[in-house]
Amino acid sequence: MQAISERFKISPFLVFFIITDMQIGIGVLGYQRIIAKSAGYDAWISIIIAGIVGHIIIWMMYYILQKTGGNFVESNQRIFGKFIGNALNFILVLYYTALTISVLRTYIEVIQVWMFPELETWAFAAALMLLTIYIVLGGFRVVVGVCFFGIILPAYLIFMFAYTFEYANFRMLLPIFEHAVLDILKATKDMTLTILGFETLLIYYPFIKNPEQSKKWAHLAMLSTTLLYAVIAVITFAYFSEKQLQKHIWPTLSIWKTVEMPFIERFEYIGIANWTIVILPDMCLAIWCASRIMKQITNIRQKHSLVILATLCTIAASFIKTREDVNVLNDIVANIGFYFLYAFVPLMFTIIYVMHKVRKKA
Amino acid sequence: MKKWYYFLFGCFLIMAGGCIRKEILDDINILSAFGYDYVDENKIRGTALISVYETDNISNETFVATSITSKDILEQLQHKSSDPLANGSIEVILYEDKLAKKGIMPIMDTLSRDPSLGTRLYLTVVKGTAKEVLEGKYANRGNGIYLSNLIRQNIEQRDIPKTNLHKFLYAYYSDGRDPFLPYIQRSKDKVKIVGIALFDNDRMVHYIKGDEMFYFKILVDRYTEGTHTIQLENDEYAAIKSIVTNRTFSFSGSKEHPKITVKIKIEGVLYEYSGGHYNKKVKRMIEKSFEKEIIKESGNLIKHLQSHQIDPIGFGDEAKSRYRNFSYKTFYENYPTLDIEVQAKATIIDSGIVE
Repeated sequence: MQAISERFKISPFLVFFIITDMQIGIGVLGYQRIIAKSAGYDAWISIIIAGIVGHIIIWMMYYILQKTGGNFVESNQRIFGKFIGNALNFILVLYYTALTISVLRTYIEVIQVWMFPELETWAFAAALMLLTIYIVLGGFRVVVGVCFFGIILPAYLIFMFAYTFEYANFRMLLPIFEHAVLDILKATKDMTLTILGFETLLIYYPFIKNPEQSKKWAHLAMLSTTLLYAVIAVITFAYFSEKQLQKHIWPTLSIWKTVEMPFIERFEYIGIANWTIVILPDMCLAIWCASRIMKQITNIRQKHSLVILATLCTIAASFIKTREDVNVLNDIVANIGFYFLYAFVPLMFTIIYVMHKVRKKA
Repeated sequence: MKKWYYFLFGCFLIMAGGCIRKEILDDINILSAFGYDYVDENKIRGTALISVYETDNISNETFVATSITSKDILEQLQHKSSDPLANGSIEVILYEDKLAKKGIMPIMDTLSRDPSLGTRLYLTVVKGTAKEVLEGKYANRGNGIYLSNLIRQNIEQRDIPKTNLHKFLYAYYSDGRDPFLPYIQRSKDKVKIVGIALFDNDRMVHYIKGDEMFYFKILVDRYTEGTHTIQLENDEYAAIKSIVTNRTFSFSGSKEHPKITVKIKIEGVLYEYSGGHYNKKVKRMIEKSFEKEIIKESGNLIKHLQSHQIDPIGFGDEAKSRYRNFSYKTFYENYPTLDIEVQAKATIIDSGIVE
């Protein structure tokens, strides 16, 4: 393993921005409806449960990384053998590529439905992917810089939710715990796609200066996104009646429709346009991870695999045509992410924990 | 190498920009209001109002088409218009009462589906035809803006409860609440609000007349303004403008058959008192008669709503949030016979600049 030069590394506090930005991607535009489907207006409890589970997974990831010297790809090879380890790593490449496609395609769908129905998917996908390639070529530090601005610049959007208070009816959240525990847990699973994104930590961990110190920032990031999701969900539930919410594919955007300012009649267009800044770092980081793993398991240069993967993303995104297809893609990504986060990471944790204990005794 | 990237990226930006259809303000017809009228069992007539912007005023132009679905009406209107019709700034949508009695959800569907419409647009029911209202000439700001201002100022300062597309859909999709809309009518060169149309699901079943609207508003809205004139015991009159109103519900008894108490609290300013001398005693008397009137009128109103099996106040939702395993079905089966009591507390906090 070659050590990463100090000048390519990032300060530990930037982990906060990477994680929050990866999490607040495309999911936040429409997760309220999905979780309310099974848990009704008790679904905010599911968000908090998902957040707690997320904290545990982050803790496990740090344990894994610290005990194995920080390189997840290599520790896969070490633990499962060269062949199976690399197969697993390759699945990770596919997963991060799929994540990029899903973010890209969902965002283009939003633009097509809300603003420009005639927009050609391939044209916009190609333009965004070119930008992504350009950013990723600048190296990991540039990607992190984009993540930083991806949180800071659109942060003002949170104030737009204040416009709903005029219509809010918080009573409808009562009584609490009206739904069965199983329903609430099912909604927790449905939160996966929205809460996904912090698993990229496994790949960029070697790039953090003093990784020990980044731990608190990672947890803080998890805590703030969980709180943000819970607050937005509660606001949404107060704004829509339950059956009305089920009618809206992107409740967050529908909420922005109610924003009224003297100089802008329809705020959601500003919101959607602004959202590019939020999803751009998502795509950059996901595709960076994919190409980084490629570099480690094959001897293709990262530059080349990056261009190949980006082309693949553009082509794949153009082939996805309807709402249903986009949904299927998102479900697939959410499922892989679910098993990766909640099955594979704990498995790795157990193996390494046991190995460590055994070695200590011997 | 770097230069090549820039060039390629620039090319794509230009290409991507050219892919979108432009909508230049001068080359489109901007709809500012839309009306639906009943023609026969299957057909509706749509009237589109377009604001034509001239140098010093806004004139109105209307297009009329008849068809089965509302999107198809827009299609047919398009045939009559030289510029494409843009519906992004519709302010008001009007429904003829005959149509509203049949149910407006089939034609509402397109409104909730269309991303270009705002959720703050007003829906109203018209006594007479919507076409007749839209064809009038009311002010030189254009009829669309006239109508929306008429409704807005009556919501903000007078006795129409808060209403718009979002509110309507909220109530429509809610199990424990029924929607309502303002009810308007054209009278020569003006449009006036004649009451509030009450809906059962999407069908208008009844309406509240002008003088009951104040009581309806204080029951429906949480914080609101409104003016009302009451007759006092000594045959004098007093006009009161309410500044702060608050209503709270309390439930007791079983969830199938609860006893509901509505507490209304009003703080207001005396606008006019015909009796001349005004002092503490008079103040107390006015407050007392106001309370009595609120209890009587609101009580009657609620009984009326109960007998029509409609719930615009949202008792169902209020009950749901207070009882576990609540069933809307049994609640509404018992709804007409529920015991609903009104209590009122009125305070006059000011009497204007004179004493």
